[in-house]
Order: sequence, then structure tokens, then C-alpha cells
Amino acid sequence: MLVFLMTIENNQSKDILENIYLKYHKKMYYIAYEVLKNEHDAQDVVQTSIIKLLKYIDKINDVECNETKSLIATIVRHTAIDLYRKKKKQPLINYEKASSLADESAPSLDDMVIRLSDAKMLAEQLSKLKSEYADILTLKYYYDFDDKEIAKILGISYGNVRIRLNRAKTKLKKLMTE
Amino acid sequence: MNDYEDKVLEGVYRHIAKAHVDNVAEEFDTLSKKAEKLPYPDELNDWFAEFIKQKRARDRRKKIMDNLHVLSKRVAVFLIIIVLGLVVTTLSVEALRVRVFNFITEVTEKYTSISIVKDDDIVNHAVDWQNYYAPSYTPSGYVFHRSEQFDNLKIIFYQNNSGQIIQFSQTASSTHYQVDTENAEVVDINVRGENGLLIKKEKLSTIVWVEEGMSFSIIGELNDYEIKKMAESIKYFKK
Repeated sequence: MLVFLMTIENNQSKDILENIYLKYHKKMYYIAYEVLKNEHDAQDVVQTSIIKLLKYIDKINDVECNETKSLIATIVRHTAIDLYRKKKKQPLINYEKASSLADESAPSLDDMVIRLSDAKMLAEQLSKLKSEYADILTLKYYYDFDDKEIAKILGISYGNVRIRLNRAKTKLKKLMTE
Repeated sequence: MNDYEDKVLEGVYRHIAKAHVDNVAEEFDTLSKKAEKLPYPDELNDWFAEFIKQKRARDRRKKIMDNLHVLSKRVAVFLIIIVLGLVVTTLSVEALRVRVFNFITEVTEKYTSISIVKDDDIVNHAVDWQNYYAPSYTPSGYVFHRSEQFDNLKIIFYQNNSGQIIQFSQTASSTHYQVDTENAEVVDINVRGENGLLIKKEKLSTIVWVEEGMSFSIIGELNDYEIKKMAESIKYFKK
């Protein structure tokens, strides 16, 4: 079957999805495996992620740019987390409730704009704090997905998208005051 | 919070999101070595090959359907234009309109004439006009064939088994006639007490006369006796 894939690689008519698979299939599988530690589950996640990617393939122009890599990684990781949660029968509502909203104080707009020079570090901190928060902010404000699309990509309900988005904003504001 | 603040906050989120994208992409790039070490299942390659094959088939079908959709729209527009053109032509050109209506009339009346026709005026039952003149005598073997009307001009055609035609015309007397008299024999005659002309050219005879404000003519391959007898026999019919 690799011969077939090589044929695709040499074919001028191959499309973006084929290019994505050829370039990143091993990394996609690795991300899924790291979450699930199970070969069959990781395969399911790669398949589901490819089907999800196909829905948003029109948003991808360059297979090798950071936007594409980040989107692929986000979709695979959250599809794996979703499967893990289902296998462990962990209701999402508990997961969401686990994060505390206590002691958040809103910084001024000026403070936030000044802190933008540390955007890379802030993004890292937010991701370390809870990667789902950084991801949902990115899907919403960088990729411009609507809430329904975000719900499908992250494997959560429409209502949870709103809750998680609000919490992500609050956490980010808190980080910016520290 | 006002619109300005919303816009600034949105810009802040977008900026942080861009930084997150770069961070994730950077981390994604570092996975190469680890990913290479993890055995990759062949089943996934098989699945993807089949997935792409089906996707290509779907894409081809969709492209064909899209093309057919566009083509069918163009064909529909073309057909509508053709049909509209034919309708407008048919209704605006009188000659065509008359022929279409005559065709319909002729078919139905041929059927009715079988049961109600009388020997002496077979011609008259076959004409569907409100007011008209028609001969009550036609030479042996000639029967009604068809009728045509162009404005005031009404023409009745009679035909025999050999396919020979007699044409009886009637119109308002103001109508201008043109009769081919080149190398023809033209004789003044009396028809039904009125002055008329008998024009004979080769086998064809034409008789023309004016009576009660109407001009009549009979044209056919007839001898003088038959054509005069036919002219003398015309009657006025009113339904």
C-alpha cells in the first residue's frame, strides 16, 4: 500500500488532504498514541481526525505552514482526549467543573496591550495551565471557527464551548495581571 | 463593555492565539524523531488509500453532477427561447396561424362529413365559415378538399381522385386581382347576369366575375361548360 501512497506523492493531481497524510501521518498517530497508549484506539483517532480535517480542508492553503500544523495537532489531540474520556466514562461536565474560577481580577485594557510583547510566553503559560483553553481561544479567534464547528472539533457540546471559552478568557486575563 | 473595548480584547485574543499556533507548530515539528520510532500500522495506510479512492470517486461524481446541472440549465434556457420563438412566430404570422387552425378544422370535419353529407352540396358542409358563397355543383369526381382564409379572401379547394384541383375564391370586390394572361385566351362572358372574364391558358381555365359587391373566381382544368356551370351554381350560405 505504500506503493500506492508513493504514487499519490508523484501525482500532480493529489489534493491537500493527501499531502497532509503523506507528510504528517506518523506525527498524527504519535500524538494519538501518546494520549491513549493503545494502537487500535490511536488508529481510530487518526481516521476520525482525517475525516474532521476534510470538513475544514477549504481553510488550508499551505500544508507546511504553522497554521496547518497547529490545526492538525489540535484536532488529533482533542479527538484522542475525547475518545479517552469516553473510554474512561468521564463526563465532560465534571472535567469542566474541575477548573476554579476563583480570584480572577480583570486587568485594564492598557495592561493587556502592554503584555502582548510577551504573547509567546503567555500562550505557553495558558497552554500549560490548561491546553484546552489555549486551543479554544485559537480556534475561535485565529481560525475563526464558529461555536458549532469548535464543538465538533473538540468533541464537546455547544454549551460547553461557551463555558470553556469564557473560562479561557478569564484565565488569560488573570495571567496578564501576574 | 463598549465596542471599542470588545475590538481591543478580540485583538488581544487573536495575538495570543497566533502565539499559541506558533508554539504548537514548533512542538509538532519536534515530534519527527519520536514519531519515526513508533511503528506505524499498515492498516491505516490501507484505510487511507481506500478513503482517498472513495473521495476521488465522490469528487468525480459531484463534478459530473455539477456540470450536468449547469448544462441542464443552459439547455432549459435554450429550449425556452426556442419554444417562445416558435409561439411568437406562429401567432404573429397570419399565414402560419391560419394553416395551423385549418389543419385542426379539417381533421374534425372530415369525420363529421361522412354521416351528414348530401349529394348535391357536399362542398358546403365541409366549410366552417359563418357567411360564405359556395358552388352547389362541382364537376363529376371533385369533392371538397380544404378551405383557407386570408383576411377577406376565402378559398375552397376541390379535388378529384387524380389529384386535380379546382380553386373557388371569394373576396370583397375592392380586392385587386392579378391573373396571368400572358399567351392566354381572354373571353368576355356573362355569369349569373354579371360581366365576367374567362381566361384559358393551356389546360387551365379561370373564370372571374363580380356580383353583389363580391369578386369570385374559379380556377381548374375544366372545359368551358363545366366551369360556367359551376360558376352559375354558387349559393350564399349563412350559419
